[in-house]
Amino acid sequence: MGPVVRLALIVVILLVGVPLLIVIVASVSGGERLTFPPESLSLNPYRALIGDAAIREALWRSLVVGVQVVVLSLVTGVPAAIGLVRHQFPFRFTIGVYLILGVATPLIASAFAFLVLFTKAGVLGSLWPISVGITVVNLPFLMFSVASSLVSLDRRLEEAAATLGAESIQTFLFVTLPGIMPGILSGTIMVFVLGISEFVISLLLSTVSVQTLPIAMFASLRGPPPPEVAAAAGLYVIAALLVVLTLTSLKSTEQFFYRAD
Amino acid sequence: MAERQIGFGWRLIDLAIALGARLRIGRLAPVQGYILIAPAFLLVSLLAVGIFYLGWLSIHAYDTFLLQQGPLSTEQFRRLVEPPSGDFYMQTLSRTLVISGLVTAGSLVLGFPVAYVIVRSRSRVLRVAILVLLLVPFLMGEIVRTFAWYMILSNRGALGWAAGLFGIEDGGLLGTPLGVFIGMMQVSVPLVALLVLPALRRIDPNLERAAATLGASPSRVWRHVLIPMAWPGIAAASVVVLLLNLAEYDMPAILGLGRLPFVANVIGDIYRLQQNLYLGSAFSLVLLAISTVLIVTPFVLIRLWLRMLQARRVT
Repeated sequence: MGPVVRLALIVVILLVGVPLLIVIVASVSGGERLTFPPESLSLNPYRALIGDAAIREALWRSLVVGVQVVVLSLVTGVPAAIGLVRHQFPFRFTIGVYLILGVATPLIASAFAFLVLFTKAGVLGSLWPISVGITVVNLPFLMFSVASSLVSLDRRLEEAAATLGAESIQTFLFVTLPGIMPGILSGTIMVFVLGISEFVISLLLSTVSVQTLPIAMFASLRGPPPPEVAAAAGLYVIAALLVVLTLTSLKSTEQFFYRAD
Repeated sequence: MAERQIGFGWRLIDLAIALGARLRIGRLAPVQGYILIAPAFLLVSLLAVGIFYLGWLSIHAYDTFLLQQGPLSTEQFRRLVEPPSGDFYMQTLSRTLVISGLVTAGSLVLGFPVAYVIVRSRSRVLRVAILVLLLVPFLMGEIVRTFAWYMILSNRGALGWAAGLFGIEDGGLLGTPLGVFIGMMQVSVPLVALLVLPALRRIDPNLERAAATLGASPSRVWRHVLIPMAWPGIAAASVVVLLLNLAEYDMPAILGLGRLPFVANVIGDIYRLQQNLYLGSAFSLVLLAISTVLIVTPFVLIRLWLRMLQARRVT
Protein backbone atom coordinates (compact mmCIF):
# COMPACT_ATOMS: atom_id res chain seq x y z
CA MET A 1 0.00 0.00 0.00
CA GLY A 2 1.50 3.30 -1.07
CA PRO A 3 1.23 6.43 1.06
CA VAL A 4 -1.36 7.97 -1.26
CA VAL A 5 -3.60 4.92 -1.04
CA ARG A 6 -3.19 4.84 2.73
CA LEU A 7 -4.12 8.52 3.01
CA ALA A 8 -7.22 7.99 0.87
CA LEU A 9 -8.23 5.04 3.04
CA ILE A 10 -7.90 7.08 6.25
CA VAL A 11 -9.90 9.98 4.80
CA VAL A 12 -12.69 7.61 3.72
CA ILE A 13 -12.80 5.84 7.08
CA LEU A 14 -13.17 9.25 8.77
CA LEU A 15 -15.75 10.42 6.21
CA VAL A 16 -17.90 7.35 6.79
CA GLY A 17 -17.12 6.56 10.41
CA VAL A 18 -17.25 9.98 12.10
CA PRO A 19 -20.93 10.66 11.24
CA LEU A 20 -21.85 7.25 12.69
CA LEU A 21 -20.07 8.06 15.95
CA ILE A 22 -21.60 11.54 16.09
CA VAL A 23 -25.13 10.16 15.72
CA ILE A 24 -24.56 7.56 18.42
CA VAL A 25 -23.07 10.16 20.80
CA ALA A 26 -25.84 12.67 20.06
CA SER A 27 -28.50 10.04 20.73
CA VAL A 28 -27.25 9.50 24.31
CA SER A 29 -26.52 13.11 25.16
CA GLY A 30 -28.06 15.02 28.04
CA GLY A 31 -29.18 18.63 28.05
CA GLU A 32 -31.98 20.51 26.38
CA ARG A 33 -30.09 21.23 23.17
CA LEU A 34 -27.82 18.95 21.20
CA THR A 35 -24.25 20.17 21.27
CA PHE A 36 -20.89 18.60 20.70
CA PRO A 37 -19.36 17.47 22.95
CA PRO A 38 -22.58 16.77 24.89
CA GLU A 39 -22.98 18.33 28.35
CA SER A 40 -23.65 14.92 29.84
CA LEU A 41 -24.61 11.40 28.85
CA SER A 42 -28.16 10.15 29.32
CA LEU A 43 -30.96 8.27 27.64
CA ASN A 44 -33.10 11.42 27.56
CA PRO A 45 -33.36 11.58 23.74
CA TYR A 46 -34.84 8.08 23.64
CA ARG A 47 -37.23 8.98 26.46
CA ALA A 48 -38.22 12.09 24.52
CA LEU A 49 -38.79 9.92 21.44
CA ILE A 50 -41.16 7.65 23.34
CA GLY A 51 -42.86 10.64 24.96
CA ASP A 52 -43.43 12.58 21.73
CA ALA A 53 -46.68 11.29 20.23
CA ALA A 54 -46.10 12.88 16.80
CA ILE A 55 -42.65 11.31 16.33
CA ARG A 56 -43.84 7.99 17.75
CA GLU A 57 -46.71 7.86 15.27
CA ALA A 58 -44.37 8.80 12.44
CA LEU A 59 -42.08 5.93 13.48
CA TRP A 60 -45.02 3.54 13.43
CA ARG A 61 -46.06 4.76 9.96
CA SER A 62 -42.53 4.23 8.67
CA LEU A 63 -42.57 0.67 9.97
CA VAL A 64 -45.92 0.07 8.27
CA VAL A 65 -44.50 1.46 5.02
CA GLY A 66 -41.47 -0.80 5.44
CA VAL A 67 -43.66 -3.89 5.79
CA GLN A 68 -45.87 -2.89 2.84
CA VAL A 69 -42.77 -2.33 0.71
CA VAL A 70 -41.44 -5.77 1.66
CA VAL A 71 -44.72 -7.52 0.80
CA LEU A 72 -45.07 -5.70 -2.54
CA SER A 73 -41.41 -6.31 -3.43
CA LEU A 74 -41.60 -10.02 -2.62
CA VAL A 75 -44.84 -10.57 -4.53
CA THR A 76 -43.55 -8.81 -7.64
CA GLY A 77 -39.76 -9.10 -7.43
CA VAL A 78 -39.21 -12.79 -6.69
CA PRO A 79 -41.34 -14.10 -9.60
CA ALA A 80 -39.82 -11.49 -11.89
CA ALA A 81 -36.28 -12.56 -11.00
CA ILE A 82 -37.17 -16.21 -11.59
CA GLY A 83 -38.83 -15.37 -14.90
CA LEU A 84 -35.86 -13.34 -16.09
CA VAL A 85 -33.23 -15.89 -15.08
CA ARG A 86 -34.95 -19.21 -15.75
CA HIS A 87 -37.18 -18.58 -18.75
CA GLN A 88 -36.51 -17.73 -22.33
CA PHE A 89 -38.95 -15.47 -24.12
CA PRO A 90 -38.88 -12.68 -26.68
CA PHE A 91 -37.93 -9.21 -25.34
CA ARG A 92 -36.49 -10.75 -22.16
CA PHE A 93 -33.58 -8.31 -22.10
CA THR A 94 -35.73 -5.28 -22.89
CA ILE A 95 -38.18 -6.19 -20.14
CA GLY A 96 -35.30 -6.66 -17.72
CA VAL A 97 -34.07 -3.15 -18.49
CA TYR A 98 -37.61 -1.78 -18.19
CA LEU A 99 -37.94 -3.26 -14.69
CA ILE A 100 -34.99 -1.20 -13.41
CA LEU A 101 -36.61 2.04 -14.64
CA GLY A 102 -37.02 3.03 -10.98
CA VAL A 103 -33.28 3.27 -10.31
CA ALA A 104 -32.44 4.80 -13.69
CA THR A 105 -34.84 7.71 -13.21
CA PRO A 106 -33.68 10.51 -10.90
CA LEU A 107 -35.50 10.05 -7.61
CA ILE A 108 -37.15 13.47 -7.66
CA ALA A 109 -38.50 12.85 -11.20
CA SER A 110 -39.94 9.48 -10.11
CA ALA A 111 -41.45 11.13 -7.06
CA PHE A 112 -43.03 13.85 -9.18
CA ALA A 113 -44.32 11.31 -11.70
CA PHE A 114 -46.04 9.43 -8.86
CA LEU A 115 -47.28 12.73 -7.47
CA VAL A 116 -49.05 13.81 -10.67
CA LEU A 117 -50.40 10.30 -11.26
CA PHE A 118 -51.71 9.80 -7.73
CA THR A 119 -53.08 13.35 -7.57
CA LYS A 120 -55.02 12.65 -10.76
CA ALA A 121 -56.25 9.36 -9.30
CA GLY A 122 -57.15 11.14 -6.06
CA VAL A 123 -55.50 8.58 -3.78
CA LEU A 124 -53.05 10.81 -1.89
CA GLY A 125 -53.46 10.99 1.86
CA SER A 126 -52.93 7.34 2.73
CA LEU A 127 -49.78 5.31 3.24
CA TRP A 128 -50.05 2.80 0.40
CA PRO A 129 -49.27 5.21 -2.46
CA ILE A 130 -46.01 6.00 -0.64
CA SER A 131 -45.27 2.28 -0.32
CA VAL A 132 -46.00 1.69 -4.01
CA GLY A 133 -43.64 4.49 -5.03
CA ILE A 134 -40.85 3.31 -2.74
CA THR A 135 -41.27 -0.28 -3.97
CA VAL A 136 -40.89 0.71 -7.62
CA VAL A 137 -37.64 2.59 -7.04
CA ASN A 138 -36.09 -0.08 -4.79
CA LEU A 139 -37.40 -3.22 -6.50
CA PRO A 140 -34.18 -3.74 -8.51
CA PHE A 141 -32.18 -4.31 -5.30
CA LEU A 142 -34.37 -7.30 -4.39
CA MET A 143 -34.42 -8.58 -7.98
CA PHE A 144 -30.61 -8.46 -8.26
CA SER A 145 -30.24 -10.21 -4.95
CA VAL A 146 -32.63 -13.03 -5.91
CA ALA A 147 -31.30 -13.27 -9.47
CA SER A 148 -27.70 -13.61 -8.31
CA SER A 149 -28.55 -16.50 -5.98
CA LEU A 150 -30.62 -18.10 -8.79
CA VAL A 151 -27.68 -17.89 -11.16
CA SER A 152 -25.35 -19.55 -8.67
CA LEU A 153 -27.89 -22.29 -7.82
CA ASP A 154 -26.93 -25.51 -9.59
CA ARG A 155 -29.58 -26.21 -12.22
CA ARG A 156 -28.83 -29.91 -12.10
CA LEU A 157 -30.40 -30.08 -8.62
CA GLU A 158 -33.75 -29.05 -10.08
CA GLU A 159 -33.32 -31.44 -13.01
CA ALA A 160 -32.49 -34.26 -10.60
CA ALA A 161 -35.65 -33.55 -8.59
CA ALA A 162 -37.72 -33.61 -11.77
CA THR A 163 -36.07 -36.89 -12.87
CA LEU A 164 -36.92 -38.42 -9.51
CA GLY A 165 -40.56 -37.66 -10.16
CA ALA A 166 -41.15 -34.35 -8.38
CA GLU A 167 -43.92 -32.20 -9.79
CA SER A 168 -42.79 -28.71 -10.76
CA ILE A 169 -44.42 -27.20 -7.68
CA GLN A 170 -42.53 -29.65 -5.45
CA THR A 171 -39.26 -28.91 -7.22
CA PHE A 172 -39.87 -25.24 -6.66
CA LEU A 173 -40.81 -25.53 -2.98
CA PHE A 174 -38.16 -28.03 -1.90
CA VAL A 175 -35.23 -27.33 -4.21
CA THR A 176 -35.38 -23.90 -5.82
CA LEU A 177 -36.87 -21.91 -2.95
CA PRO A 178 -34.47 -23.13 -0.22
CA GLY A 179 -31.61 -22.60 -2.66
CA ILE A 180 -32.43 -18.95 -3.28
CA MET A 181 -33.54 -18.22 0.29
CA PRO A 182 -30.33 -16.33 1.20
CA GLY A 183 -30.86 -14.05 -1.82
CA ILE A 184 -34.51 -13.48 -0.92
CA LEU A 185 -33.63 -12.74 2.70
CA SER A 186 -30.86 -10.27 1.98
CA GLY A 187 -33.03 -8.56 -0.67
CA THR A 188 -35.92 -8.36 1.78
CA ILE A 189 -33.80 -6.85 4.51
CA MET A 190 -32.41 -4.35 2.07
CA VAL A 191 -35.77 -3.13 0.72
CA PHE A 192 -37.13 -2.94 4.26
CA VAL A 193 -34.34 -0.67 5.48
CA LEU A 194 -34.43 1.42 2.30
CA GLY A 195 -38.20 1.66 2.76
CA ILE A 196 -38.19 2.92 6.33
CA SER A 197 -35.49 5.51 5.56
CA GLU A 198 -36.70 6.67 2.12
CA PHE A 199 -37.11 10.41 1.87
CA VAL A 200 -37.89 12.15 -1.42
CA ILE A 201 -40.87 10.02 -2.48
CA SER A 202 -42.34 10.18 1.01
CA LEU A 203 -41.88 13.96 0.99
CA LEU A 204 -43.93 14.55 -2.15
CA LEU A 205 -46.55 11.86 -1.52
CA SER A 206 -47.19 12.44 2.17
CA THR A 207 -49.76 14.86 3.47
CA VAL A 208 -49.59 16.37 6.93
CA SER A 209 -51.68 13.54 8.36
CA VAL A 210 -49.48 10.75 6.98
CA GLN A 211 -45.95 11.97 7.68
CA THR A 212 -43.37 9.20 7.87
CA LEU A 213 -40.42 9.39 10.26
CA PRO A 214 -37.84 10.80 7.81
CA ILE A 215 -40.26 13.60 6.89
CA ALA A 216 -40.95 14.39 10.55
CA MET A 217 -37.18 14.47 11.19
CA PHE A 218 -36.66 16.76 8.21
CA ALA A 219 -39.27 19.18 9.49
CA SER A 220 -37.55 19.48 12.87
CA LEU A 221 -34.11 19.94 11.27
CA ARG A 222 -35.13 23.36 9.98
CA GLY A 223 -33.96 24.78 13.31
CA PRO A 224 -31.62 23.47 16.03
CA PRO A 225 -32.46 19.75 16.20
CA PRO A 226 -34.39 18.56 19.28
CA PRO A 227 -33.11 15.51 21.23
CA GLU A 228 -35.80 13.11 19.97
CA VAL A 229 -34.49 13.54 16.42
CA ALA A 230 -31.10 12.36 17.64
CA ALA A 231 -32.76 9.29 19.13
CA ALA A 232 -34.57 8.53 15.88
CA ALA A 233 -31.30 8.94 13.97
CA GLY A 234 -29.65 6.64 16.51
CA LEU A 235 -32.29 3.99 15.82
CA TYR A 236 -31.65 4.24 12.08
CA VAL A 237 -27.90 3.86 12.54
CA ILE A 238 -28.38 0.85 14.83
CA ALA A 239 -30.79 -0.68 12.28
CA ALA A 240 -28.32 -0.10 9.45
CA LEU A 241 -25.48 -1.67 11.44
CA LEU A 242 -27.62 -4.69 12.38
CA VAL A 243 -28.65 -5.13 8.76
CA VAL A 244 -25.10 -5.00 7.49
CA LEU A 245 -24.02 -7.53 10.09
CA THR A 246 -26.97 -9.79 9.16
CA LEU A 247 -26.13 -9.56 5.47
CA THR A 248 -22.58 -10.45 6.38
CA SER A 249 -23.67 -13.58 8.19
CA LEU A 250 -26.09 -14.63 5.44
CA LYS A 251 -23.34 -14.81 2.89
CA SER A 252 -19.72 -14.05 3.37
CA THR A 253 -19.50 -10.26 2.97
CA GLU A 254 -17.19 -10.52 0.05
CA GLN A 255 -19.53 -12.87 -1.75
CA PHE A 256 -22.21 -10.28 -1.28
CA PHE A 257 -20.37 -7.97 -3.66
CA TYR A 258 -18.69 -10.34 -6.05
CA ARG A 259 -18.71 -14.07 -6.46
CA ALA A 260 -15.65 -15.59 -4.83
CA ASP A 261 -13.53 -17.63 -7.18
CA MET B 1 -46.76 -48.28 14.82
CA ALA B 2 -49.97 -46.75 13.60
CA GLU B 3 -50.34 -45.39 10.11
CA ARG B 4 -47.92 -42.61 9.34
CA GLN B 5 -49.25 -39.13 9.79
CA ILE B 6 -49.25 -37.21 6.56
CA GLY B 7 -48.45 -33.57 7.27
CA PHE B 8 -50.92 -30.88 6.45
CA GLY B 9 -48.39 -29.21 4.16
CA TRP B 10 -48.09 -32.31 1.99
CA ARG B 11 -51.85 -32.51 1.59
CA LEU B 12 -51.87 -28.86 0.48
CA ILE B 13 -49.21 -29.59 -2.11
CA ASP B 14 -51.12 -32.63 -3.37
CA LEU B 15 -54.18 -30.44 -3.62
CA ALA B 16 -52.22 -27.83 -5.57
CA ILE B 17 -50.90 -30.47 -7.97
CA ALA B 18 -54.41 -31.87 -8.50
CA LEU B 19 -55.77 -28.38 -9.04
CA GLY B 20 -53.01 -27.61 -11.50
CA ALA B 21 -53.81 -30.78 -13.45
CA ARG B 22 -57.54 -30.02 -13.44
CA LEU B 23 -56.97 -26.47 -14.71
CA ARG B 24 -54.43 -27.82 -17.23
CA ILE B 25 -51.75 -25.37 -16.15
CA GLY B 26 -49.37 -27.15 -18.50
CA ARG B 27 -50.77 -25.31 -21.49
CA LEU B 28 -49.52 -22.06 -19.95
CA ALA B 29 -45.90 -23.26 -20.08
CA PRO B 30 -44.96 -21.28 -23.22
CA VAL B 31 -46.00 -18.00 -21.61
CA GLN B 32 -44.86 -18.88 -18.09
CA GLY B 33 -42.04 -16.32 -18.30
CA TYR B 34 -44.49 -13.53 -19.05
CA ILE B 35 -46.79 -14.60 -16.21
CA LEU B 36 -43.91 -14.46 -13.74
CA ILE B 37 -42.85 -11.03 -14.96
CA ALA B 38 -46.37 -9.57 -15.10
CA PRO B 39 -46.80 -8.30 -11.49
CA ALA B 40 -43.47 -6.46 -11.51
CA PHE B 41 -44.15 -5.18 -15.03
CA LEU B 42 -47.50 -3.72 -13.99
CA LEU B 43 -46.02 -2.13 -10.88
CA VAL B 44 -43.19 -0.47 -12.80
CA SER B 45 -45.68 0.63 -15.44
CA LEU B 46 -47.21 2.94 -12.83
CA LEU B 47 -43.96 4.89 -12.95
CA ALA B 48 -43.85 4.78 -16.75
CA VAL B 49 -47.43 6.07 -16.95
CA GLY B 50 -46.56 8.73 -14.39
CA ILE B 51 -43.61 9.86 -16.50
CA PHE B 52 -45.81 10.07 -19.62
CA TYR B 53 -48.37 12.08 -17.67
CA LEU B 54 -45.52 14.33 -16.50
CA GLY B 55 -44.64 14.93 -20.13
CA TRP B 56 -48.27 15.63 -21.00
CA LEU B 57 -48.66 18.22 -18.22
CA SER B 58 -45.37 19.91 -19.06
CA ILE B 59 -46.52 20.85 -22.57
CA HIS B 60 -49.63 22.65 -21.36
CA ALA B 61 -50.21 26.20 -20.25
CA TYR B 62 -51.46 26.62 -16.70
CA ASP B 63 -53.56 29.44 -15.37
CA THR B 64 -52.15 29.99 -11.87
CA PHE B 65 -55.06 32.27 -11.00
CA LEU B 66 -57.94 30.07 -12.07
CA LEU B 67 -55.91 26.89 -11.34
CA GLN B 68 -56.92 25.58 -14.74
CA GLN B 69 -55.11 23.73 -17.46
CA GLY B 70 -54.68 25.80 -20.60
CA PRO B 71 -53.99 24.82 -24.20
CA LEU B 72 -50.88 23.09 -25.52
CA SER B 73 -47.89 25.40 -25.20
CA THR B 74 -44.20 25.65 -24.45
CA GLU B 75 -44.95 28.10 -21.63
CA GLN B 76 -43.53 25.91 -18.83
CA PHE B 77 -40.20 25.33 -20.53
CA ARG B 78 -39.94 28.99 -21.48
CA ARG B 79 -40.47 29.95 -17.84
CA LEU B 80 -37.61 27.63 -16.91
CA VAL B 81 -35.20 29.01 -19.48
CA GLU B 82 -36.06 32.60 -20.36
CA PRO B 83 -35.22 35.52 -18.07
CA PRO B 84 -36.28 36.88 -15.70
CA SER B 85 -37.87 33.79 -14.11
CA GLY B 86 -35.49 31.46 -15.95
CA ASP B 87 -32.40 32.96 -14.29
CA PHE B 88 -33.17 31.32 -10.97
CA TYR B 89 -34.02 27.92 -12.48
CA MET B 90 -30.99 27.81 -14.74
CA GLN B 91 -28.74 28.93 -11.89
CA THR B 92 -30.17 26.10 -9.78
CA LEU B 93 -29.58 23.62 -12.59
CA SER B 94 -25.97 24.67 -13.09
CA ARG B 95 -25.32 24.64 -9.33
CA THR B 96 -26.72 21.11 -9.18
CA LEU B 97 -24.59 19.98 -12.12
CA VAL B 98 -21.38 21.60 -10.83
CA ILE B 99 -21.59 20.40 -7.21
CA SER B 100 -22.76 16.91 -8.28
CA GLY B 101 -19.92 16.72 -10.79
CA LEU B 102 -17.36 17.77 -8.18
CA VAL B 103 -18.74 15.24 -5.69
CA THR B 104 -18.53 12.52 -8.35
CA ALA B 105 -14.94 13.47 -9.22
CA GLY B 106 -13.96 13.59 -5.55
CA SER B 107 -15.62 10.24 -4.97
CA LEU B 108 -13.64 8.66 -7.80
CA VAL B 109 -10.38 10.01 -6.38
CA LEU B 110 -11.12 8.63 -2.90
CA GLY B 111 -13.22 5.58 -3.75
CA PHE B 112 -10.92 3.96 -6.30
CA PRO B 113 -7.95 3.56 -3.90
CA VAL B 114 -10.29 2.15 -1.24
CA ALA B 115 -11.61 -0.43 -3.70
CA TYR B 116 -7.98 -1.24 -4.52
CA VAL B 117 -7.25 -1.86 -0.82
CA ILE B 118 -10.24 -4.20 -0.54
CA VAL B 119 -9.15 -6.17 -3.59
CA ARG B 120 -5.43 -6.40 -2.80
CA SER B 121 -5.22 -6.39 1.00
CA ARG B 122 -4.05 -9.70 2.45
CA SER B 123 -5.83 -9.05 5.75
CA ARG B 124 -9.34 -10.51 5.66
CA VAL B 125 -10.33 -8.54 8.77
CA LEU B 126 -9.40 -5.26 7.10
CA ARG B 127 -11.27 -6.16 3.91
CA VAL B 128 -14.48 -7.14 5.72
CA ALA B 129 -14.30 -4.17 8.11
CA ILE B 130 -14.02 -1.73 5.21
CA LEU B 131 -16.85 -3.40 3.30
CA VAL B 132 -19.14 -3.22 6.34
CA LEU B 133 -18.25 0.43 6.88
CA LEU B 134 -18.94 1.25 3.23
CA LEU B 135 -22.41 -0.32 3.27
CA VAL B 136 -23.73 1.49 6.35
CA PRO B 137 -24.12 5.03 4.89
CA PHE B 138 -26.16 3.59 2.03
CA LEU B 139 -28.61 1.93 4.43
CA MET B 140 -28.93 4.59 7.14
CA GLY B 141 -30.93 6.93 4.95
CA GLU B 142 -30.49 10.40 3.52
CA ILE B 143 -32.07 12.27 6.41
CA VAL B 144 -29.92 10.57 9.06
CA ARG B 145 -26.74 11.30 7.10
CA THR B 146 -27.87 14.91 6.86
CA PHE B 147 -28.55 15.07 10.60
CA ALA B 148 -25.09 13.65 11.34
CA TRP B 149 -23.38 16.26 9.16
CA TYR B 150 -25.50 19.00 10.66
CA MET B 151 -24.17 17.95 14.07
CA ILE B 152 -20.63 18.04 12.69
CA LEU B 153 -20.69 21.18 10.55
CA SER B 154 -22.85 23.59 12.54
CA ASN B 155 -21.02 26.23 14.52
CA ARG B 156 -21.73 24.36 17.77
CA GLY B 157 -20.83 21.03 16.17
CA ALA B 158 -17.98 18.58 16.28
CA LEU B 159 -15.88 20.33 13.65
CA GLY B 160 -16.03 23.66 15.47
CA TRP B 161 -15.11 21.86 18.69
CA ALA B 162 -12.16 20.10 17.05
CA ALA B 163 -11.00 23.36 15.49
CA GLY B 164 -11.30 25.00 18.91
CA LEU B 165 -8.84 22.46 20.30
CA PHE B 166 -6.27 23.87 17.88
CA GLY B 167 -7.23 27.40 18.78
CA ILE B 168 -9.07 28.06 15.50
CA GLU B 169 -12.31 29.98 15.71
CA ASP B 170 -14.66 28.46 13.16
CA GLY B 171 -18.06 29.71 12.11
CA GLY B 172 -19.04 26.27 10.79
CA LEU B 173 -19.56 25.13 7.25
CA LEU B 174 -23.35 25.28 7.16
CA GLY B 175 -24.66 27.29 4.22
CA THR B 176 -21.47 26.83 2.19
CA PRO B 177 -21.00 24.72 -0.94
CA LEU B 178 -18.12 22.94 0.83
CA GLY B 179 -20.47 21.76 3.59
CA VAL B 180 -22.92 20.34 1.05
CA PHE B 181 -20.02 18.76 -0.85
CA ILE B 182 -18.63 16.99 2.22
CA GLY B 183 -22.05 15.75 3.26
CA MET B 184 -22.77 14.29 -0.17
CA MET B 185 -19.36 12.57 -0.23
CA GLN B 186 -20.35 10.30 2.67
CA VAL B 187 -22.52 8.12 0.45
CA SER B 188 -20.89 8.81 -2.93
CA VAL B 189 -17.42 7.57 -2.01
CA PRO B 190 -18.61 4.17 -0.69
CA LEU B 191 -20.83 3.76 -3.72
CA VAL B 192 -17.95 4.38 -6.15
CA ALA B 193 -15.74 1.99 -4.20
CA LEU B 194 -18.39 -0.76 -4.24
CA LEU B 195 -19.14 -0.24 -7.94
CA VAL B 196 -15.53 -0.39 -9.18
CA LEU B 197 -14.76 -3.49 -7.06
CA PRO B 198 -15.76 -6.05 -9.72
CA ALA B 199 -13.71 -4.30 -12.42
CA LEU B 200 -10.63 -4.07 -10.18
CA ARG B 201 -10.93 -7.71 -9.19
CA ARG B 202 -10.58 -8.82 -12.78
CA ILE B 203 -7.13 -7.23 -13.04
CA ASP B 204 -4.38 -9.80 -12.62
CA PRO B 205 -2.05 -8.71 -9.77
CA ASN B 206 0.84 -10.09 -11.82
CA LEU B 207 0.40 -7.23 -14.27
CA GLU B 208 1.23 -4.73 -11.54
CA ARG B 209 4.19 -6.83 -10.43
CA ALA B 210 5.41 -7.06 -14.01
CA ALA B 211 5.15 -3.29 -14.46
CA ALA B 212 6.98 -2.71 -11.17
CA THR B 213 9.71 -5.21 -12.12
CA LEU B 214 10.17 -3.38 -15.38
CA GLY B 215 10.84 -0.23 -13.39
CA ALA B 216 7.47 1.56 -13.32
CA SER B 217 6.92 3.75 -10.28
CA PRO B 218 3.67 3.18 -8.30
CA SER B 219 2.11 6.26 -9.88
CA ARG B 220 2.95 4.95 -13.36
CA VAL B 221 1.44 1.58 -12.49
CA TRP B 222 -1.73 3.41 -11.58
CA ARG B 223 -1.76 5.59 -14.67
CA HIS B 224 -0.79 2.96 -17.22
CA VAL B 225 -2.12 -0.31 -15.78
CA LEU B 226 -4.82 0.00 -13.14
CA ILE B 227 -6.87 2.96 -14.34
CA PRO B 228 -6.92 2.01 -18.06
CA MET B 229 -7.89 -1.57 -17.24
CA ALA B 230 -10.64 -0.60 -14.83
CA TRP B 231 -12.10 2.22 -16.89
CA PRO B 232 -15.41 0.56 -17.88
CA GLY B 233 -16.05 0.08 -14.15
CA ILE B 234 -15.00 3.66 -13.47
CA ALA B 235 -17.34 4.97 -16.17
CA ALA B 236 -20.27 2.94 -14.83
CA ALA B 237 -19.61 4.05 -11.25
CA SER B 238 -19.37 7.71 -12.28
CA VAL B 239 -22.70 7.61 -14.10
CA VAL B 240 -24.54 5.91 -11.24
CA VAL B 241 -23.12 8.23 -8.60
CA LEU B 242 -23.66 11.35 -10.69
CA LEU B 243 -27.29 10.35 -11.24
CA LEU B 244 -27.86 9.90 -7.52
CA ASN B 245 -26.18 13.21 -6.74
CA LEU B 246 -28.25 15.14 -9.29
CA ALA B 247 -31.42 14.25 -7.38
CA GLU B 248 -30.01 15.15 -3.94
CA TYR B 249 -32.52 16.87 -1.66
CA ASP B 250 -31.68 16.81 2.06
CA MET B 251 -28.08 17.92 2.02
CA PRO B 252 -28.66 21.17 0.07
CA ALA B 253 -31.84 21.88 2.03
CA ILE B 254 -30.38 21.40 5.51
CA LEU B 255 -26.60 21.79 5.16
CA GLY B 256 -27.04 24.55 2.56
CA LEU B 257 -29.51 26.31 4.89
CA GLY B 258 -31.78 26.78 1.89
CA ARG B 259 -29.29 29.17 0.26
CA LEU B 260 -27.98 26.58 -2.18
CA PRO B 261 -31.06 24.83 -3.57
CA PHE B 262 -30.64 21.91 -5.96
CA VAL B 263 -33.11 21.05 -8.70
CA ALA B 264 -34.90 18.62 -6.37
CA ASN B 265 -35.44 21.34 -3.74
CA VAL B 266 -36.84 23.75 -6.30
CA ILE B 267 -39.16 21.09 -7.71
CA GLY B 268 -40.36 20.38 -4.19
CA ASP B 269 -40.98 24.09 -3.57
CA ILE B 270 -42.81 24.52 -6.87
CA TYR B 271 -45.21 21.84 -5.69
CA ARG B 272 -45.59 22.82 -2.04
CA LEU B 273 -45.48 26.60 -2.28
CA GLN B 274 -46.91 27.30 -5.75
CA GLN B 275 -49.03 24.13 -6.11
CA ASN B 276 -47.96 24.20 -9.75
CA LEU B 277 -47.78 20.63 -11.04
CA TYR B 278 -47.21 21.86 -14.60
CA LEU B 279 -44.01 23.80 -13.98
CA GLY B 280 -42.79 21.08 -11.63
CA SER B 281 -43.41 18.48 -14.33
CA ALA B 282 -41.38 20.47 -16.82
CA PHE B 283 -38.41 20.84 -14.45
CA SER B 284 -38.58 17.13 -13.53
CA LEU B 285 -38.55 16.32 -17.22
CA VAL B 286 -35.46 18.50 -17.79
CA LEU B 287 -33.61 16.58 -15.08
CA LEU B 288 -34.83 13.28 -16.50
CA ALA B 289 -33.60 14.25 -19.98
CA ILE B 290 -30.15 15.19 -18.65
CA SER B 291 -29.93 11.89 -16.76
CA THR B 292 -30.96 9.89 -19.82
CA VAL B 293 -28.23 11.54 -21.88
CA LEU B 294 -25.74 10.76 -19.09
CA ILE B 295 -26.78 7.09 -19.03
CA VAL B 296 -26.81 6.61 -22.78
CA THR B 297 -23.60 8.49 -23.65
CA PRO B 298 -21.13 6.00 -22.07
CA PHE B 299 -22.79 3.09 -23.91
CA VAL B 300 -22.51 4.90 -27.23
CA LEU B 301 -18.89 5.87 -26.52
CA ILE B 302 -17.95 2.30 -25.57
CA ARG B 303 -19.58 0.97 -28.74
CA LEU B 304 -17.74 3.54 -30.87
CA TRP B 305 -14.50 2.69 -29.12
CA LEU B 306 -14.97 -1.04 -29.75
CA ARG B 307 -15.75 -0.38 -33.40
CA MET B 308 -12.61 1.73 -33.68
CA LEU B 309 -10.51 -1.07 -32.19
CA GLN B 310 -12.02 -3.54 -34.64
CA ALA B 311 -11.32 -1.26 -37.56
CA ARG B 312 -7.73 -0.93 -36.46
CA ARG B 313 -7.37 -4.69 -36.21
CA VAL B 314 -8.66 -5.17 -39.75
CA THR B 315 -6.19 -2.77 -41.35
